[in-house]
Amino acid sequence: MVRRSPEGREWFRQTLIRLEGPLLRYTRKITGDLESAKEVVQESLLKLWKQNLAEIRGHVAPWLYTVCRNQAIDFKRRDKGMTELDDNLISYESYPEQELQKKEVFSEIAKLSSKHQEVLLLKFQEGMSYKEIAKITGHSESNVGLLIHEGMKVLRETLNEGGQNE
Amino acid sequence: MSKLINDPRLTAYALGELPKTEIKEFEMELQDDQKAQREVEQIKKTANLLKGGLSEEKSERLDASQREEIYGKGPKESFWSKNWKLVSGLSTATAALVLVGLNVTSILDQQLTQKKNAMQEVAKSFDAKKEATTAKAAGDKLERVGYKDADLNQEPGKTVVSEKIAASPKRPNSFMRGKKNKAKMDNFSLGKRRALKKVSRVMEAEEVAISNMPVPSAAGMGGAQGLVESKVARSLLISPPVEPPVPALYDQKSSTEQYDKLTVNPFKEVGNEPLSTFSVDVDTASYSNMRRFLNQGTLPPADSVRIEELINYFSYDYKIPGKSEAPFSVNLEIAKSPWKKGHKLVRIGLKGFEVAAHERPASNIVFLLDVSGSMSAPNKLPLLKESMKLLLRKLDERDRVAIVVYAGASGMVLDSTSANNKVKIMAALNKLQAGGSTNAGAGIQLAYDVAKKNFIKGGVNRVILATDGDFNVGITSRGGLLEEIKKRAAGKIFLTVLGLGMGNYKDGRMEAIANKGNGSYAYIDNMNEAKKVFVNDLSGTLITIAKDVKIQVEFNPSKVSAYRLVGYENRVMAAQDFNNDKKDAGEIGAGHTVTALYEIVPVGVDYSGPGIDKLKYQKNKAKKKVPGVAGKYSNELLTVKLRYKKPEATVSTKISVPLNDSSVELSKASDDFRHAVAVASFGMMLKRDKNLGEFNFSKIRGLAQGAKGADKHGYRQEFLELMDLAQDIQKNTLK
Repeated sequence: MVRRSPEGREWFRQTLIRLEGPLLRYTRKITGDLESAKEVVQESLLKLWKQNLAEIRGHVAPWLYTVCRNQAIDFKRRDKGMTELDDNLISYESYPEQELQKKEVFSEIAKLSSKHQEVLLLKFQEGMSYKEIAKITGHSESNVGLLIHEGMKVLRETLNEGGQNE
Repeated sequence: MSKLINDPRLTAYALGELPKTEIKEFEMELQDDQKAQREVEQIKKTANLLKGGLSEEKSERLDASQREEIYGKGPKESFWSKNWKLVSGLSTATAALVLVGLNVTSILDQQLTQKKNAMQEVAKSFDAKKEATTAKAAGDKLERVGYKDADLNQEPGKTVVSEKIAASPKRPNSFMRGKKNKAKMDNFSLGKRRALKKVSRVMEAEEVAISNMPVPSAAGMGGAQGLVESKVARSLLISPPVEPPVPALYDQKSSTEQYDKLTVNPFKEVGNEPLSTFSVDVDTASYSNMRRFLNQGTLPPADSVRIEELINYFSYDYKIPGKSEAPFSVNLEIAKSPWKKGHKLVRIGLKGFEVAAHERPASNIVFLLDVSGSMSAPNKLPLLKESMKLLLRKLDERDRVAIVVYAGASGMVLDSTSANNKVKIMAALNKLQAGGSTNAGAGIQLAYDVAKKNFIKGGVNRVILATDGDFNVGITSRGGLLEEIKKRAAGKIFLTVLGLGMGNYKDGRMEAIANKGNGSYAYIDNMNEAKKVFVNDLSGTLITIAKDVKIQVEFNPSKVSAYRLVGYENRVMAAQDFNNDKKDAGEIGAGHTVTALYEIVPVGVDYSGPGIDKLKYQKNKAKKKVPGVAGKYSNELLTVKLRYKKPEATVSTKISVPLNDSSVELSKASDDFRHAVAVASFGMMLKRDKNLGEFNFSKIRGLAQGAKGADKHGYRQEFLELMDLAQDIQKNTLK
């Protein structure tokens, strides 16, 4: 009876609807393809069912990103036989949106190291704070700050150059 | 030289990430460093550029079946026992109610002192009911009251606690307060409640304002604090300020999707037209297209819903034909109609023989791919590539694959290659890119030429055309294209049309092409559908076991006064075409099932069709009994006649099967029959077909729920999910 609780399901549904897109967007960059990302995100949401919510209260989203990240890495290790992932975590391997790649913001970010890419994407695409990014990636908070600082330094030169010509 | 330029604090400061305690100190340092100050502005500007640019990446969504699995699997009982207070607090206690609680606390407290006994009783029962509360909560929300333990107006989003969170054992005081308040609410007069509702409306407005304020991530949710919750606030509070991925709503006005007008088949008087003739149809595109619409949050346009394609999307457990029999079995069933009292429904079910994977004949497959600019969307060419890889995995050394593309110019990407050489085929696939305008005509010619050159006698010879149907160069008129296809298809080469994408999707054109080309038509909206077409139903997709399959039903006028064919609107044929072998009709693939429903008005049941006056003489005629029908056929309701050709034959074979009248309740009918009726009903609802009568949503859902059967692939479960989705959308649209 409790199990069918409509408001619990509704809460879960809302969470799913709100986060499935961003989670897929992030996870896909690790798995390299959308179908695997879907499986990973599905698994992660199933884990949320089993989770004690009190423990993750207030940071359900970062928690889900963390689970997705770990599972995606597992997946990549298993399926692609990759062991050294740190330098190659984020990939745009099978990104179908070639137009997207043509966009300056994406092409410039893609030139950075994988570590830099990840924190920048988490910050500016997924809207995470330094603290949350540290939780998700396992870097220290100050390391996150450093990575973002370095990345921004490169980007504000390349991106703003283009901007000034416009 | 500025020493702050290389300090990570600079970026953190610009992005608002510097801890409060460090801000003052940093600003002091910044004061003397003008270069660094300009950098702060640059960082902010770049951050905005990044946010804007990165937001252009669109969000994908999970497949409906995956979502269903997530809902279906979880949660365990333990999830709720661990989380029920929290979850129910998160989702139901609307801010309005919580806030009402704030304002009435004092009133309540006054009354409280007077009614302690009542309170204690309620408190007792509240304890007992604690476990059950979550399930009931939604219904009796209004009876509940929260309370505040901090001033909401000063600290938005921080410390208001709903009753259910207050009921946490960790907070004994809150628990008591919650109970007291509830007790008070139960004793409230109606008038006061109305007044409260008024207050709540005002407060709701305030709440919206509050939730629009920038909420720091995780604010008010950390530690043991409760939270303010409203529909608006929820999205901001549960997660960091992630842009909510609102699914792009399909804009029916600006879209160039085209659907042919479909008028629902009317009732026909048996006295006027004792024969009903139509061509079979194994297409399923309308179903997956409908699913795509629903997943996008819109109801499908009525004309895009073809009920026969919804019904035939599902496979049914009909008798598998024996080797010596016709290539398919005929399965008839009758039951009372749920749509109108007195009416009956008859189901005609055909099942083609099955071909095991190892018995599958060698295949000569030519992919004809539309790679025009409109195909570049991720749900078109990229999805198609992935789908083709699925198919490729199922093929082996017996088979050959060629790839022809068409865009501005058509061309061969891969000449016919043994399917053993997967690396080569994959490489060709991976290289495909979309660009240019569409000249389908030339591509079709080339594809059929390649298929002909590599023809495998006794094997599967098939062109698989994949497109969004947006032909805009070359033979663009539908007529011209159809002629081309018809001419080419005459030579024993079959056609599969795969519809992809949306926006400029030309549904009618695709279906017409498939019909002309001895073909079938499927719409691929996601990988699951690709799996269905290319993996689960592979032999059906590839192997045609009978072609030009026509059905003619003769009704017994002493039993039936009128009938209506459900669906198959654009498959209806003239009675004389049934025996005319030159008239083209539908194909049945290996293992395919084809299902058609007739709604029957028995003699003696009042019938007046829409727009038709009651016939004056029909009844009398029936009473007299029609000559020749009495005696041995008197209990026969109808006879189903079928004509089909073997795949390479030119002359048809005929079978006929009679059906005796009976009055079985629908609830006693087979799962398959009831499921088909539920699917048809849902289709009728989407088409706003008045024939549905009083058979409303919940009845349809109940019928489908009870008819799920074994549901090996989960398709029927997905159907239930889609119905719920449709109802949600409908409700929201009405609001």
